[in-house]
Amino acid sequence: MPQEMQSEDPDRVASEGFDGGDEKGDRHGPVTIYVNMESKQFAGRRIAFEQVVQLASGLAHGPDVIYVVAYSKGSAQQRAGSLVAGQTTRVINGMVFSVTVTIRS
Amino acid sequence: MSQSPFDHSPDLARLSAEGYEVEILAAHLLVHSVPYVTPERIIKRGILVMPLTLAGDIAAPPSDHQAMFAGGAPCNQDGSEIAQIRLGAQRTEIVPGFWVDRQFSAKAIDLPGQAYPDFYAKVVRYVSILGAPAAGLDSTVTAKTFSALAVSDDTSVFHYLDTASARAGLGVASSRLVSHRLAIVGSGGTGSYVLDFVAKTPASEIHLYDADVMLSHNAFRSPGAMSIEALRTRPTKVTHFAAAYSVLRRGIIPHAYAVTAANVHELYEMSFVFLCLDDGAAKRVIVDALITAMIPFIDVGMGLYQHAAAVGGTLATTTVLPGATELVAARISFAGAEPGDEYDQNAQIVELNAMNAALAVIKWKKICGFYGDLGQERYSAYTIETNTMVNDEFAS
Repeated sequence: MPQEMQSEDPDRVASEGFDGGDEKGDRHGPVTIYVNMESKQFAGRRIAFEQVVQLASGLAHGPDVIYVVAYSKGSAQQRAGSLVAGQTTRVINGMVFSVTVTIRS
Repeated sequence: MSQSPFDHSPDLARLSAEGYEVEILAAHLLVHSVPYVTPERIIKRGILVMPLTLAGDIAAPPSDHQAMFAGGAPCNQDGSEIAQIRLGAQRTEIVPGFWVDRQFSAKAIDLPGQAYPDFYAKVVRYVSILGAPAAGLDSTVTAKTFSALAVSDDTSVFHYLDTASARAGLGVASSRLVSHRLAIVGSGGTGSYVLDFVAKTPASEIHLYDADVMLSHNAFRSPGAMSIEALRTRPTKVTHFAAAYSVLRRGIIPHAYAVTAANVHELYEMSFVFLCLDDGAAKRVIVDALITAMIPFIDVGMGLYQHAAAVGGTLATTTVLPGATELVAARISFAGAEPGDEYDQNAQIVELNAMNAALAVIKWKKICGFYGDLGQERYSAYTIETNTMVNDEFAS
């Protein structure tokens, strides 16, 4: 998957002053999150299911595709969980997202 | 294949030959018509019960010196309880409908190693302790009645007895898994592990559906080990697995074809269905039919990707019960698999198949009441790279 070599957003903003588990990222600017093990910069207090899917590389597309979005290392209120279309969750620095299509057995 | 340990175990055969009314029930040895004296100083007969330790279909030495009793309090000739062997008076259900109400402990301190060498010695000792006061009241009374009894557990699906459940005291709990008709649609990596797990439950029938032939790469994604000779015969997956597990139990029925709209009605006879197939279009037909027919099912599926040469991904387990089907739209993907994706490229993921299968079988056992289920989740997702399990879609 060559497209995954580009592991950072082009419009990345310098992430000075961040440490792991910082829940005040929105006050300071973008935070680093991981989507399918690639680091990404994300600016905003909450992230939507659709935004997480957008950040993931190499996904299958189509009308019958249902994406599975799971996260961990989240905020103290919601450390881990799953998102379906239309749902959002609080973003903190170092949060880890997984986006897959779970169709193999 | 013989189901009767009496044919292969000299100690059990000797008990039977000497006239004791011995029987095996759910991996316990039962001795019926054992005389004892009641507190009223009347002679009655009770049932002596002990867990059977088996090596295959041969009785091994008893694992301890304890026994149980279905009857009343066994007494001395004067009506006082035999205190020396009393351990407890706990009313306990061994198998549904069969209760014991006394627990005994008669140590074999006079025997070599201070242990009973076999079940003959153990039974004779207990019968003697219980029966001696009765013989004092009436010297003709004996446990050796020579009454014929069914000696084997013919209702079992297994070719040898499930002594693990009896030893763990899980006989009643595991009975909740009996008389299920299960179907596993798709006998690939995850489906074959679902079979491996449910084959060891007392479920009466396990139907396997898959049209595919067992190929070399499949052998790396299924339980057990398969020889090159066996692969060269090009068996279908379902015939291979049905044969492999027939040495353990009966009731595994292979169907070497795919489930389609034309034959999906075969699943309407099932009590539970495991969906372990990659074909999204076929899955949609089956899911719609099972929902309409009110058949409960679990869909398993994994999604893998690779980043910096490491594999990550998620294992999803979705439980759909009659009247609670709204989660299907958001949780089950009906897309077709992409040939050549991470799943196809990586043979070294068999433990993910096993884990996804284990998660599905654990959830089925919760629905059956075998495991506790305070979580009540109907959807779970295990993510590999963070070792995280998330639950969702809770039953209201």
